[in-house]
Amino acid sequence: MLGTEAVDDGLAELYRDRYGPMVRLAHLITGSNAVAPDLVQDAFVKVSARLGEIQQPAAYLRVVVVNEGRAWIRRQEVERRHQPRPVEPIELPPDVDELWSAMAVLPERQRVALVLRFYEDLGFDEIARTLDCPVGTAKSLVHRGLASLREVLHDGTR
Amino acid sequence: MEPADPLETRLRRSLRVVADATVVPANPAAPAGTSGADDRPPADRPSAEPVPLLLDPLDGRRRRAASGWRLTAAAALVALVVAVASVVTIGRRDGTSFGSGGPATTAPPSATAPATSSGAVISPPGSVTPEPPVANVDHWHAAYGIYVCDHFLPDLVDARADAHGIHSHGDGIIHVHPFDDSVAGRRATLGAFADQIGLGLGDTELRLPDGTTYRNGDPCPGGQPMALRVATWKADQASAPAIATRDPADVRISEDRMVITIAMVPEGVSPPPPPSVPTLDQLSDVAPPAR
Repeated sequence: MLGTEAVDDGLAELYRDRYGPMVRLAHLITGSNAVAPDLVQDAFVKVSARLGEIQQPAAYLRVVVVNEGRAWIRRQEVERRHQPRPVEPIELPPDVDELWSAMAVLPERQRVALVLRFYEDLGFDEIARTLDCPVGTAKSLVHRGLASLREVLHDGTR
Repeated sequence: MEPADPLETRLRRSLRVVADATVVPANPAAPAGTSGADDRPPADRPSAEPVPLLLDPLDGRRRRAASGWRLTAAAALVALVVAVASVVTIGRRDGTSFGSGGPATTAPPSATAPATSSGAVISPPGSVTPEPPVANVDHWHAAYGIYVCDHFLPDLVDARADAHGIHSHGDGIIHVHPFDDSVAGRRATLGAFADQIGLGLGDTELRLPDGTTYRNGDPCPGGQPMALRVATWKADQASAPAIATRDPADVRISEDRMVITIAMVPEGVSPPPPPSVPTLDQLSDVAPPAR
């Protein structure tokens, strides 16, 4: 258990090092740059309460950010499942824009798994820990996410 | 070495491009003119307008003394915003809305605020009007059953005390009357109910409380491989069911008197409605319509 001073220093360091990367991660997970800083802010508040107890604050923070992002997506889901989530307009190259829009229609867990795999470069065991699921499920989510993405890009609809 | 999948390569690049385009609010602790905690070289950083933070970064001589109250103040401020939004929502639902708003409803005010215990949840824009089932307002029932190959399994009972307002008495009926927001609105899902009765509801497998597990591909008695499906019927409608073939835990309990069959059946087999459907008309704890 860390002392108060060490916890404060740890939080400051964590904040300096991980705030930006976590905002970007939250943006990729939620598709909303506007909401990402708020989610990360909430995540830091939650992490700060347990900072003295946790062994790997950065990994724990990522789990909290992912959970916050997933909870936000679930709250945002519109009446019909798999209906595209609104994508905030940002200026992107056409091929990136097409893929970013396709990401918006994926089921939340597939989207998150793809972001963790191909943006965070996590292994399947780490993805499984982050999503609190078996490794097989993590592999399946990534595999299905890619398949869904192919389907959406091929169809150009959905 | 296997060549990289072009889609994976494109996905990596696209995610990186979007991440680089992310506007990261400024962190005053960082050197002037940089985005907060930005881990990229200055030339790669977007030139974004800094956004003020609720929780200031902790810097310099003040950070030790300031960190505690800053975190508390941030949580309190967010809780205040959420509480105000809640009051506005309640006002609208009571027909005492501020301004002209939409048509008033007759629903009583919710007894719970949508804030979490930490007060740190920020409701997204437009989400302040609660969706049914509303905590401490709605009391719904759904008939459910677990069907494996060609027969229904015995109905399950709660695995633990019901702390949130979703449970079953072992009669094939899901009772949903949320005490809090954790099982209200879009969080009233089959996954939430499965947790309550100790049922493992994975994407491709069903694990009963006694450990018996049925997996996609396991053979039914006829030899055909089974697959997990969730069939739902709208209340009091004899139409064909909606069949969910993935993310079964996310299936919503979206209205009163829904009918749900969680099934492990061969491809092409349509799960039947559960035998507990008639029980929906014999319940003794049905509250008068509150909405």
